Amino acid sequence: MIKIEGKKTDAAAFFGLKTDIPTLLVVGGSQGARSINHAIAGSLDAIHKAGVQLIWQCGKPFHEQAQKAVAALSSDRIKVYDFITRMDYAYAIADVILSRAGASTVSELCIIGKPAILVPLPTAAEDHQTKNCQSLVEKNAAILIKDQDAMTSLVPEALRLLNSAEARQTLSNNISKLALRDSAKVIAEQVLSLIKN
Amino acid sequence: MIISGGGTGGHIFPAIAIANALRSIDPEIEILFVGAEGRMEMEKVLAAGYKIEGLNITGFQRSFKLSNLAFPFRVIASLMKAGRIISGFKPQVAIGVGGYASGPLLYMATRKGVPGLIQEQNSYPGITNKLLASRVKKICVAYDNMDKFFPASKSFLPAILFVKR
Repeated sequence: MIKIEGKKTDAAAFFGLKTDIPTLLVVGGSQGARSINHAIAGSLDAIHKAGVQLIWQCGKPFHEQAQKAVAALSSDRIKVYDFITRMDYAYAIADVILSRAGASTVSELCIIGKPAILVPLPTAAEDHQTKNCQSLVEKNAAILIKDQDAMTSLVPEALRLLNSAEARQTLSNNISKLALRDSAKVIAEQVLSLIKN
Repeated sequence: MIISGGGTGGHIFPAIAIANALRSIDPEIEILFVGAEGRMEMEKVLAAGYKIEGLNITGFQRSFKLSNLAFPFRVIASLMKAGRIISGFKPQVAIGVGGYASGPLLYMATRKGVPGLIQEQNSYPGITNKLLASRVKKICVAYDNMDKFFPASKSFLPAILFVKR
């Protein structure tokens, strides 16, 4: 299980960032995050001007293009990686997380309990990423942005969240509740099934 | 029900959550925790409103330490105490959440024919759970690639919240 408690200072040192500036973490994944990458690349200037920090995992295919875009800004608050080796650090320092909605990622987000904006991969089998997301959205535990809306809505929504401690707290409380409760119930049911046998 | 294990919050809090979930399904269920003497579960479990018994068991230091000489004796004493707890409480199921105490307790429970369930929330199993895997009826895991370590027929996934339908 991923652990982030008490790692914020080390995380800041690892990424070369500060602990007291709102931080956006963007996790594109290895290949399927074109829309997320394009939305971020197209709004780097706005992100920089908003005064926030950005950790951006863009995947290998987009890395060169992303590096160029970041270099053009010469901002020391924007860090781009093809792959982040220390996700625990990335999660520890992040105030808002922007990601696809695969099952493992979603259960990880529940465990770390941070506010998340999810962009389901529309080509995932039977659109299961959207289903993952909707379960969260129904409980006001995450924000869903459709892939086709990423370009226009993603960065404004992220910046809005980074600016609202209250909205972040609500999402964070709600997503945390999902982690243990459901799995504890599943385990309890399995335990009881052993009695009947 | 007996729930055993502990050591860190990562084991104890899921254990308490399982106990609460059992109680919410059936408030009549009797639950006894079994922990390791001197470890944090002894107070956390009481604070959560459950009974707990302690075994005098510690980890085996994986480097050479004098304290390891006492280790076999502690194991034997713990197995005997675990056996007494099981004979006295007569659980219908024994649950192990990982950590020192779940080893002797689940070993003795399964030996006495009590069905066992273990929980492994890490993507790489601890030594206690690896040793217990062949003895228990069910193993719950948090990642879907755990059949490397555990028989797939016994495993189920509770910590993955959403399954592909």
